[in-house]
Amino acid sequence: MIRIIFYLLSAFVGIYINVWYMLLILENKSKLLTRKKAKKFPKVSILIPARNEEKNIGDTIKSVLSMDYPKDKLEVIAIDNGSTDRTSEIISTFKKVKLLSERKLGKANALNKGLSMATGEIVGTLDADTLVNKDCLKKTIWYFEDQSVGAVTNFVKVDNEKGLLGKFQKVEYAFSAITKKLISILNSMYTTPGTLSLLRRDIIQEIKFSNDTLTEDMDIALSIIKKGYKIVNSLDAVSYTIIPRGFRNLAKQRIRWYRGFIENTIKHADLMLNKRFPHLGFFIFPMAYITILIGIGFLSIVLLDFFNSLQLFIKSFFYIPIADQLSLVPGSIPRLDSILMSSYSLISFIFIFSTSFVLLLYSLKLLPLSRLYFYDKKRCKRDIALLPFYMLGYYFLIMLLWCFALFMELFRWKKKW
Amino acid sequence: MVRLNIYTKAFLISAGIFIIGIFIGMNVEKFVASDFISRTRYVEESVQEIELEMLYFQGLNETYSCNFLGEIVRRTNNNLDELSGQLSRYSETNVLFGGTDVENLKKRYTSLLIKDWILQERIKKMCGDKTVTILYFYDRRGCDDCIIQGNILSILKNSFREKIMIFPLDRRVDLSMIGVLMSRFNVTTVPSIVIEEKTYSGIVVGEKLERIACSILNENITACS
Repeated sequence: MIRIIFYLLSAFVGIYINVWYMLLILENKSKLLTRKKAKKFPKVSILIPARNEEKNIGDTIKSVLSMDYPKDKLEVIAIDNGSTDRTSEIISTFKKVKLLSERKLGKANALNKGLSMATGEIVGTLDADTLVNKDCLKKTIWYFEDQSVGAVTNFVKVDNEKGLLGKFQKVEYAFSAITKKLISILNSMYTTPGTLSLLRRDIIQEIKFSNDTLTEDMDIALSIIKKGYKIVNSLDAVSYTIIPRGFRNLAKQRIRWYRGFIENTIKHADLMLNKRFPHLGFFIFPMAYITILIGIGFLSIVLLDFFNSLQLFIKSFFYIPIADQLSLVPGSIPRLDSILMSSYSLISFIFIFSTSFVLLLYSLKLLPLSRLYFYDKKRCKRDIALLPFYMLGYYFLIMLLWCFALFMELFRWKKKW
Repeated sequence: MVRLNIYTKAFLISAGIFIIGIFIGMNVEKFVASDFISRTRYVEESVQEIELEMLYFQGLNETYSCNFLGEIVRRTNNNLDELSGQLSRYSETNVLFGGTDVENLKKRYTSLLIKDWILQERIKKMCGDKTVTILYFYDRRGCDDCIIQGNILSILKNSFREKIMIFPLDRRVDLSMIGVLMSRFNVTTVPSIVIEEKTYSGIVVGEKLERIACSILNENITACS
């Protein structure tokens, strides 16, 4: 009974979120792909913190230096954060790049060091494993003509989508890009990722990057919002990030992100249920926690059922010969097979989810956005075909990592950047 | 203003889709329930028919009808077997909307099962029928051993076919007759099996059940060879 109520409640939450996004898309179609030409080009300082990034740093710097932006208005500062490989040596080969060194570990420390040397009116944060499009700056800088804009984030694409995990992440990034744009319209963008987010230097010099949490990009974003500035997102400016390969690297990255999310929502708890930030405080953050809890609930049910069935399966071998086990077909004598979910309630559940999902996909189809992300129609279709698997397999994997992150935060596990 | 409205709009649309979903689910349930009820009615009718025929034949002291009666009881038992599967699925799935309906269906089904068992016992006495009757007490929830025992009985039924009749009784069904049978056969735990008035508690493995069945049947059938 409790299980079915849980299923139905989560179905309602799921459909509500999907419909909410659908309405946001439909109501803001015209705002999603706004393009303007910059009237002036303020000086921009790009900060690239790097630690043992000898494989990527060269390409990252090359992509930054080749950006279409007045050369005298572009300052590139790379901060070596205690690398033990050739990172520093590679950076020093670029004459136009200022090389700084920060022995105190932590991305925030490196960024603060860079910030202290930056002379640009606008500061960009760029991870050493990210490549930027040539027109990335020009397509975002005009947003700062509005004095209420504190930061601008861009559209992040996946650079290395090899393997199933890579493809799943690509789908995830696609959805994330759309949702980020949508919540930025509601002035609720709560992160300025290191994929070339641009920030007003005077604001962040006051706030400073903090090592309090594992995700300094979320911390700084929330601080900017609290100061009354807007964080906007541009779907026009594109950067490419290198996603982690293999489960271990993905788990490491995600646990850091999720722990950072928890830490930041606690650190900035004053945002919760705060009338000044109605969308973020009353809906986005609470809903984020609700969906995480629902996900963990689903994961627990699946794992519990799996282990119960496994235990029963193993126990059965002591009483029933293997040949007979194989011959077993669902018979008339009550064998009470564990049913994951009631079949008739399942019909309701599937209907509810699929309808809302189709509505969401349909509203996305109305946008040139899906084409924009998925490059061409063929690949778009292929990636959308991956969605059911993404929702099942990858979703549970992500929920498992959320469990770890919650557990680690609960027991104050040692932090690793 | 417009922005805040989006929450209300989303709520109304979601509620609409949600209600339609629930409505579809409930109608499927109703359809399954009506099918189940009509099949139960059919079985009830055949049980009544057997009772009537037995009364008639007993009065006439006719024994030639044994085969005929045995056949009807067996068919009823097979029907009950099928209903059992349907009922266990139905009851698992209708906890939310079924409520008392499910409980009533279970009671009706269990009553039929017990009636069928009583008839079979009477036929055995009247006609000297050698069919093995097994009363199987189980619990629908929280009893892993019951699942294993159920599997063992399914396998046994597959190999002995009509020579074995199994009457699975869920101890959770609120029927006083279950309590009567449990106390009569001294059943205190589940799973428990009663064969020829003898109670076996805990899991009884297939080999042991086969031995018991073969000794009762005392026949040269494939399952015993």
